Amino acid sequence: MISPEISKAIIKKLIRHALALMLLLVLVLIITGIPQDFNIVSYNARNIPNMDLDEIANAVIKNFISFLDGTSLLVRIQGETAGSLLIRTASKSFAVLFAGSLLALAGGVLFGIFAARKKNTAGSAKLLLSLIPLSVPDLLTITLVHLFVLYLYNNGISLLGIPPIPAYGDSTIINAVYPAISISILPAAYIARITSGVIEEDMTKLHILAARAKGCSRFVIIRDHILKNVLYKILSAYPAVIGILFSSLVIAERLFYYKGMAFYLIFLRTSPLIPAYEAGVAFSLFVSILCVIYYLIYTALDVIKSILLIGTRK
Amino acid sequence: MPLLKVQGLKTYFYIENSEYPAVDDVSFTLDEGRILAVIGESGSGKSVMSMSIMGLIDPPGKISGGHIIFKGEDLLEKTERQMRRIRGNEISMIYQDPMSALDPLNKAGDQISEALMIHKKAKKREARSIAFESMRSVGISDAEKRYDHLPEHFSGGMRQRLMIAVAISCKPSLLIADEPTTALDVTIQADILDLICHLKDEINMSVILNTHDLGIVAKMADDIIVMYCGQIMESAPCKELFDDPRNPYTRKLMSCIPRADKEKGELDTIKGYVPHLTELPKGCRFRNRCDFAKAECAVVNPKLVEVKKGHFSRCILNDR
Repeated sequence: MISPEISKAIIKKLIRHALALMLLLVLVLIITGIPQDFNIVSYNARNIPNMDLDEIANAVIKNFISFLDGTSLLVRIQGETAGSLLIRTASKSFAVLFAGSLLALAGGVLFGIFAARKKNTAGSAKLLLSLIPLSVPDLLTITLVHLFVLYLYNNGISLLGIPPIPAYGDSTIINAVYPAISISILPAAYIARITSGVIEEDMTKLHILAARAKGCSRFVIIRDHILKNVLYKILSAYPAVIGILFSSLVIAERLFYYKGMAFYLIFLRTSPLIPAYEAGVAFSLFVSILCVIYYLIYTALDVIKSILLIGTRK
Repeated sequence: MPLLKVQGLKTYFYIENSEYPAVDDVSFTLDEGRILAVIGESGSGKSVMSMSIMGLIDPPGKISGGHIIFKGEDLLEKTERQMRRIRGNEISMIYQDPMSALDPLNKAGDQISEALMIHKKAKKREARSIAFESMRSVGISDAEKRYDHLPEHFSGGMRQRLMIAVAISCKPSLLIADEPTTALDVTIQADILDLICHLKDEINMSVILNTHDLGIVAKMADDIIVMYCGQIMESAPCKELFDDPRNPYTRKLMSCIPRADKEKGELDTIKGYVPHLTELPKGCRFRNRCDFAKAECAVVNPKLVEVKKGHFSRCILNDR
């Protein structure tokens, strides 16, 4: 049973997030509404745009209207409507995002617990935890995974009894494995840092000392006394993790030629095969839907957080 | 055979290649069913000594020497796994700050059940019903309802009762109470102390009571140890120590207690501060604050000598 206090907090959050999402969508639709063939050329030391302001404004307004009345869903991309392409690609991207998210959470928490065991603060595990998220760009990490995958596939090497997984394509669900692994590495490192930090901090608290004095083992202490706090901190940081997952998804889908939503974002923007107007409207639709999805996840996490926060005060 | 025999216990802290003696060559015995009060100012080593007995000293601290014989077995020879079977089961501890010694995110009752499930291998339901009993035995009414409350719904005194319930749930032989009333309102201090005494008799456990409140000591303790800068300055049975304190530090502590039979006037204080572990003076550690200090005190750290049967003191004056 949700108390009135929690309901009030949830409603407040929903309204705030809905307003923020609307503002974000307006910005996205303005930026993506600018025609794809818009250009500025230099001629006789002058910069001349190939469209005037009215044309751009009309295109942006048209973009708004087509998004709001749903006609953007009917634009045809390579013989398929943007709506059906969106649904088809979204399911593929979500498989990768969901698997990547779970991998990041499980791997990050486990690695964080392991890293917190190291008494020496300059331990290599901790050093890696600090280095990976801060120093290595996601592009490099995913490229390294991709190269490794290519090596495995080209040499027909199977891991853990699984036959070699194709390094490219999206024909089967198994193709989602490598993209999911590659997008989960950075978030896992991020979660591991949070986990080990919270464990180390909590281990010095008096209630943990009291738990040790009760005869609790380290495992029991982490499971029963620290993990709740760890999960709460991870939940607070998860919007940032989702952000990393989304940005990594663009790189992973492109490198692994996995035709999900993020793949089509690049494809629509760069392919000369699709007319500029159709590509622009579909691109705008894809980006807007990604924003909506991100915001829905963010709102859900925020609501869960407030329920937990207020719930623990009950 | 005494329940606990501590011999030459040394707990040092090692920081940047230097060693700092938080507990330095401490020896005492504690018999079954008795209350041993450990008194001393903050920083005298009472808590570190208790933590040493519990085997909860973490780096940079380390037990560098001595023996802690509990029920005939040296705790310092036990592995961490063996010590875990003793902690909370045979030896329990309560802390001075019940506000932060309870897990804020776990139900009050679950914190009692936890020890029972670990040590007595009780099933959750069984542990729950024993926890109800423990809660009632420490004076928490409506135990069934309050079991599911979080610690923040309990007052300071109630939280300390809860801590005591956690500590006694497995009926330990030894309870270490580390300044159990320091953080509490004066009006409930007496209740908590009475509760500890009552439970001690009921379970027939021994108690090590760390405090700097001599009033508590006079009321409760059977034996007393006076600590200063990690060393025992004086130890004796309670009545003997109050009747005939031999060490200048003990005398000074006693002169600081307000007494009803004393004429009106300013309360005595001990000049200066307890020196930090990193700045311990050579010779007698109390000499900078002692009214009877002599040049010799700066040279020799006197040994703990038996001045009367069962009465020990560490001062060069005792040798004369």
